[in-house]
Amino acid sequence: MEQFRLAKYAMGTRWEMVLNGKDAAYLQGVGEAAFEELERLERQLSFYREESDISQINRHAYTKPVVLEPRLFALFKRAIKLHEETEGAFDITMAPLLRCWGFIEGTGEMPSEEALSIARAKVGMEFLLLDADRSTVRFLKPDMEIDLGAIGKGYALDRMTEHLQDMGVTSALIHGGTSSVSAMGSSGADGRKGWEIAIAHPTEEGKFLASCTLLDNTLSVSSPRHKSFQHGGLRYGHVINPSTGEPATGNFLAAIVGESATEGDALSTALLVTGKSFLTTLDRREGVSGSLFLSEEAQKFTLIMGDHSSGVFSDLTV
Amino acid sequence: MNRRDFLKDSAAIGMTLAMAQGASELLADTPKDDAPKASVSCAVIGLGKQGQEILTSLAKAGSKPKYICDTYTAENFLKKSKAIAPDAKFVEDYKVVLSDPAVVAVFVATPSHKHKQIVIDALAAGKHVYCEAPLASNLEDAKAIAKAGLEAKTIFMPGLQMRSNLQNIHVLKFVRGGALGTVASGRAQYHNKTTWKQSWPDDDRMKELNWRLSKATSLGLIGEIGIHQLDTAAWFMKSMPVAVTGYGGNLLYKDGRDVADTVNCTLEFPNNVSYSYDATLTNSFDGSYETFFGSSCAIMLRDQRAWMFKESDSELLGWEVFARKDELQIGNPQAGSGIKTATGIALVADATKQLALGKQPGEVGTDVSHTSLYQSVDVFLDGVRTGVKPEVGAKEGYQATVIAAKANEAVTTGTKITFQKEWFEI
Repeated sequence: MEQFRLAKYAMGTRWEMVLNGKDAAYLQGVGEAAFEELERLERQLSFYREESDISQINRHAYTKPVVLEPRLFALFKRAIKLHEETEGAFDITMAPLLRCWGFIEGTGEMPSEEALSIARAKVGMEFLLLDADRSTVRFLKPDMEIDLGAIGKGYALDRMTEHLQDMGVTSALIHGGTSSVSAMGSSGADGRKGWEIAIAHPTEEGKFLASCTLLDNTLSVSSPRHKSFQHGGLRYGHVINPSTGEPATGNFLAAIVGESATEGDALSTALLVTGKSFLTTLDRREGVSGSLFLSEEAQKFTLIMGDHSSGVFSDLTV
Repeated sequence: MNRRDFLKDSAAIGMTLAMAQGASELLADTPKDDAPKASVSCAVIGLGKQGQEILTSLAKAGSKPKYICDTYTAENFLKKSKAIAPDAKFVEDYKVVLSDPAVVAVFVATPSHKHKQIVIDALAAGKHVYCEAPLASNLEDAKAIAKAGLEAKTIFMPGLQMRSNLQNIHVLKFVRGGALGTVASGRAQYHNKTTWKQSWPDDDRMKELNWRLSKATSLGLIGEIGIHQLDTAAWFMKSMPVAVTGYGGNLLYKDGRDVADTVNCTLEFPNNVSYSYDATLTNSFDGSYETFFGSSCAIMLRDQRAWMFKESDSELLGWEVFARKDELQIGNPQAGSGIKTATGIALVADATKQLALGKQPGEVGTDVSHTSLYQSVDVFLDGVRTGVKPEVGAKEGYQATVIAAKANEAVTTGTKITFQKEWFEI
């Protein structure tokens, strides 16, 4: 058994891939092709690159319908479905609010009420119109902006995993910035099944919150901690509640284990926004096998698992 | 879109919220749609990576291909193309495509050494043909393709995509207008860290996929990638090179390939103007760009953008005081770490038009969202729609292939090759 490791910087973070198989040269070719797909998706989905399809949509979709290629159109449809399934907690039109709170260009700042009110008016999935016959998207309000960043990494991870499967790879681990992880088969270490993954504590360096074993599934972790600011004794993070237009304070981390990294990314964002009440929705959801939620109140952390998560997470430490 | 269509589509994608909140009224308030361009009934032959990129460009241009065609039929190969062109019919034999009178245009994106027969047959069948560059992996085939292209009543367009890029066309005006001063030299590079090798579970298929790694079927790095950057030089210099020297080697990938992973060449143009080019698959530093140097300024083309770097003693052109300035720097000089190497004046394709519309210089920007390939595909489709032949045709495609093939020969033999004028004739 040979192993090949690759790394690439994309979507604002470091991606790593570990591939196991009989032939390292073969694995390298497979891994490079997977990273080419990642690069293609970054060129297409980036909110920040002015040549991306998303930037083109943001520039033109109010003045004219913008044609989407079928894969991107399908991703938009999926984002709308996830918006409905999360009762609005996952929302790809939040960019004006993120900009208003200073999270697009920096680590955040308190906005004025007036600025917040203006930004709120530019947000809403109901103002996003897809035309299936023409494969177009249109904004119904001026100055709307789409950002697929909350599911971009997960979607890329799913596409890369699919490529590895198509190429006959049966043992692999890919992660994007450690927050979106996909694992196939066994790591080959100590004869164990699956891949042992630890979830880092969001505030305490070197400490782990929990661990889990991934076997042909994915882990998505959302935490606003790395892009946040403090004001009036409260910490405001970059994950904003669409219903209030304000950062979800007190919710520190959400983790989802499931079949799809695209859905995992969206659902972990929704869990972070909604809070522990969303765990019961996740318990019933097909394709999700585990959910974990960390909140903080009066400087006290609380770590909760969804009811369906027993056996998925272990070594829980707050 | 009328209300009935809107209702239908809203239902299809579950957008009942939109209607509940009066979306149709909002839609009525939005600016009127431009009339979409008519879809061109076409086919893509060759469904590898370039074929998939063409399919993506077609989808964004609003043209749905009637057929997608490839000799390899495994589902794990075809599914990527089917995802981009779900309504297209897959066929294994390109002659099925050519025999369908409804198909008016074909895109040939097979490996370079397989272009010839398909292109000649397609032109003979009365189809408009877009053929990827280089035209072929040897000059005999390239000439046969170019000859058929010249003689055809239909459009033949080579995939020299840089020539269709509006940004480059705009910069060309500056270069041809003498903005560079006395033109001295040029330099371009392509740096990428990749094996260039494709893996596939089936050994025969894997061998076929890696045609670029064999001299017998490929013009190597300089012919398959460099052709676009060398062609840009000839296009901007408005002349064919008089000589080329080259060298290169396989420095990193000892996997049985017989094409170099690192190449250098220098094209000599009339009046001793030189254009140096290097490409490597061993290192990604500084990516890909083209630069032209003159006594008044240097001009850089990079990532669908362009900048002019003026000499301090060059004359004022007038407009540049209003233009956007971008810093070329390493690190953050303002914070005391790093250095500023130059200040570039952005050459923006629609600046004049935008300024005329009353926009401030700081607001002016180019819509760079369309890749060179998209723009090239769009130019071809427009040609098919209107019957007007694009500016880039068989002659340009052949000349670019001659330059690339001879540069590759110079690299593989380590010699200087003097171009004969008749080599560029079809």
